[in-house]
Amino acid sequence: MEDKSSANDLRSRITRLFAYKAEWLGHDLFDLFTQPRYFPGLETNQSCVLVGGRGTGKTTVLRGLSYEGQRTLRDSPVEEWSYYGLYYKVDSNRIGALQGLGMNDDEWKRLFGHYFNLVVSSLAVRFLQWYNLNTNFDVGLEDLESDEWRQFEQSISLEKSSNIQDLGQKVEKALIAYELYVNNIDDEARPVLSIPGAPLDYLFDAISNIQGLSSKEFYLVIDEYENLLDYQQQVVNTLIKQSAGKPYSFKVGVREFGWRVKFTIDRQELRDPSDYHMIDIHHELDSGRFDDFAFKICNDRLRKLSEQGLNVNELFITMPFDEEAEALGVADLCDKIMNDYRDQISSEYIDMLSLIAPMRIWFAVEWAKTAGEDPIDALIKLAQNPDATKTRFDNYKYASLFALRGRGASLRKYYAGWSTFVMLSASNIRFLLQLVEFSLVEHIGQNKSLNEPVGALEQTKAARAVGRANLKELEGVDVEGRPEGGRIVALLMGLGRLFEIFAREPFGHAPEVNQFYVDEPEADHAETIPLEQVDRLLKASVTHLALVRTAANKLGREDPRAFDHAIHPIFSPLFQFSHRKKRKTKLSVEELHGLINNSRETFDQVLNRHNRGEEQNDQLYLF
Amino acid sequence: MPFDSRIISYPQRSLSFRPTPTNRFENVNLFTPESGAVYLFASGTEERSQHADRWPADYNINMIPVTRQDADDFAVLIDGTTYSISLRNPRQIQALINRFKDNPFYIDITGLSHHVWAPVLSAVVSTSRSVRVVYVEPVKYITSQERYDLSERVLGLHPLPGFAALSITDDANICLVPLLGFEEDRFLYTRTKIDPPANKTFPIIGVPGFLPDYPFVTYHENSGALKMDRSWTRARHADASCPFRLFYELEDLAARHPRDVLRIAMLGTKPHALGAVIFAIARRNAELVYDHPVRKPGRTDGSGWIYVYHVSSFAPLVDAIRSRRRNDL
Repeated sequence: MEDKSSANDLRSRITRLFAYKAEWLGHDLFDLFTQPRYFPGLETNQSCVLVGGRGTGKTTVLRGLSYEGQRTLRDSPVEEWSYYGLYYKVDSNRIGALQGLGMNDDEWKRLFGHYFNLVVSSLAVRFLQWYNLNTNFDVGLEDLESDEWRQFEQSISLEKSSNIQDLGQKVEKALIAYELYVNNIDDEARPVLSIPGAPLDYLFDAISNIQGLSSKEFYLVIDEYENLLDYQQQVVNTLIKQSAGKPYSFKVGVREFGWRVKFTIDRQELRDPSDYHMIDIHHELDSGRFDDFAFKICNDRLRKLSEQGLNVNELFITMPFDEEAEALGVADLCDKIMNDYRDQISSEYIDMLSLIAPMRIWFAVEWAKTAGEDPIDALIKLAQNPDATKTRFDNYKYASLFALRGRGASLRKYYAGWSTFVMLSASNIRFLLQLVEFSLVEHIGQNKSLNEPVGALEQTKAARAVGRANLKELEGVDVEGRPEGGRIVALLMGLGRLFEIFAREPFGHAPEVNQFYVDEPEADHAETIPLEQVDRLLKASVTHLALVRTAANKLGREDPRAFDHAIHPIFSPLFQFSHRKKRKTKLSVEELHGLINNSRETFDQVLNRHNRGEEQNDQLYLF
Repeated sequence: MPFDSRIISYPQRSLSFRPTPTNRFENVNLFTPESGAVYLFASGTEERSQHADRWPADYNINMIPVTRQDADDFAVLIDGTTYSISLRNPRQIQALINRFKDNPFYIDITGLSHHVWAPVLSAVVSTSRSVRVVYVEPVKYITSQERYDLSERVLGLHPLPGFAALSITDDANICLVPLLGFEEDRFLYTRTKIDPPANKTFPIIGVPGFLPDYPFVTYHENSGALKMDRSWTRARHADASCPFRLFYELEDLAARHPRDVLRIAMLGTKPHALGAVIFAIARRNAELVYDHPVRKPGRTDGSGWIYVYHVSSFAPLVDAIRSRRRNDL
């Protein structure tokens, strides 16, 4: 009973420590914070745009910039800091109220501009209240007597405040009045609207005059910028462009493709680096840098789990090729081959074959069968000169592992080792944390201790569970504001099944085909295929990490078809194909469109085109 | 036996003794409003929403059919004239009601969209008129390939008219309360957009359901999403046909999380949605979340039980409105 309860306790601790969403960590977020290398780039007085997909750690980093985060991360006294970040997450359920009702975008821009002024004012007042509590300074009445404060209050139609608490209440009342107006828009008198940004200039000038806060910088940290409606992005873009040289700057977190409108109210384009500094997390954390970052994050968390100095390299051991082939049953397959052909091959060759690795024997026979050759000849040639087919074997060695267990086997490949996990995550820290968490939970579920390495089977089961969980999560995502996650899932399932079949039968085909590029539609189909819909879905699939993409040879083109795409490696254990970035195949727009719409006919056509027609009777659906 | 705070069951048993002012009739033919009543309704494609059409013309009921339900307004037909009423103008709604003196006001929500009946209800309960809400259960929901495919698509999260909450809430102080139906994709979508803190998703499942197996169907259909964050371990239950039981459940949850805002996602039955709307009107720390599904035609079959909820007799709502009036004075 006690063992069970301690196992449950350990499981809860693992889940809490490896929580992969900033929102789930609560107050632990900052204790577990690992500063990425690009962090100092955000700590400047220039506005920054932090771009990254789901799970790349944007929220964690942006919260780390906030004064609440800095309080935990810094050792120095609050008054010595050079900047204070005010964090705000854009909530689509709220912001979505500010549209429609027969008003055009220009009217809404004024209304939203005022709302944004109120929101920032509220954040600033909360900061001042916190500053009072956490420093020896006391922001009091005399601080609110300055001309700048009066100008701020007048610019946003607030009455004069007697102290910070009073100011806070007045801002909250103004927000409630605004809310009432939006809810009863034809009824309530419209509040006096402030000019977008104007009160903020007065506000931060006034704050800069407060003792202890002069010469400090203020960061307006806006997370989930993609949730702003287009006209709202235009309003905030305008403030970003105008923020140069002011005591405040913007630190914006946005998903890839989420910054849809890059111009201001008067249609001036925002430019990098004159108006903002762009930080692309994927670029910043590519290859080696991500490895170091992830290694540190996971080991830091493991140290909190056990004082015995756990290390990811020691916990998640890679499975050597021969061991994996053995685990997948190559010895039995080889025995069967030898039994089948023993009487037809001379004992001299049998003896020579007994010195050759079982995998090579099985490979020689399978290759011969696929090529329509005599397996006996293949075995004799292998015995006579193993080096003759070594290059071919090396080319197909890894791909052959997927074929050992054949159709019907539920597990056809192991995914184990820290370096494999890093590759599966493709520089996505959320996925990596999930892999570690799920593996440890699977491990302790087998009554194993954290002092022993996690088995390859447990790691593989965990990797598949992570893929499954993320596939489920994709059902809930939206495509440009519309909930079309189901279509992304349909595309992923179709592609996943396709690459799974390719992986299962490597002989006679190029090995490890797991990428695709999209061909232009045929001229006579061009008008009937909804190109825009396919492009939109490809883009959304990349945004939500169903797919990853790399620029192809048509650089400079804007459309998603100018890229090579692959299923995100995190899903490869689920579908059981190679997670290594290897060869690509061509898919037409028509075929992609068919896969998105779950067309069995399209699926069969693609298989036939790749000479894999014999798979037509397989079930398309995995679940 | 030592006191163990983990096994306390404070609200559950006491709930059954709390008032749920409701009349229930076995079929639609057994119910007609009293003479002089005002009856707002919409006849849709579902059979259950058409019962009021069959009432004889000589019934002394002021029928107000809703002929159009748009995003920002709706239209009603009164004495042959069509009136368009803004959903974000309570005075227009109240003016509509005031045409009919002090007669009891019925809102039949069976054929009305949430975004129409919720602001109407909100406007009416703030008057002192007697308000009753009518709802007709279907005999069953139609399945397609053994799946409950009830919506064609959803339009996305945005507030119901009149229910936008625009003040700032700390992300840590949010509880997501999905009122579950059969459509897991809607739950997943809402959860993804709201992104609640860990261990703060509290699904509510209709138990008992309209049919005995519906609670099991709800668990089964939502199983994937319920496993995430293990929110099934925090699931609560409230009678699928009772808005007041749902209200009490929400009240209990709010009492246990006094610093939090309950973000209540209306994904399940209409009576549950009604309970959520009443709760949002009566309590400050509540915010409605709705994804605006476009309903599939022919998704239900037949007319089942009919319920009349005496909303203006529901003490917690009455008390909240009285208290608000006092504060306004």
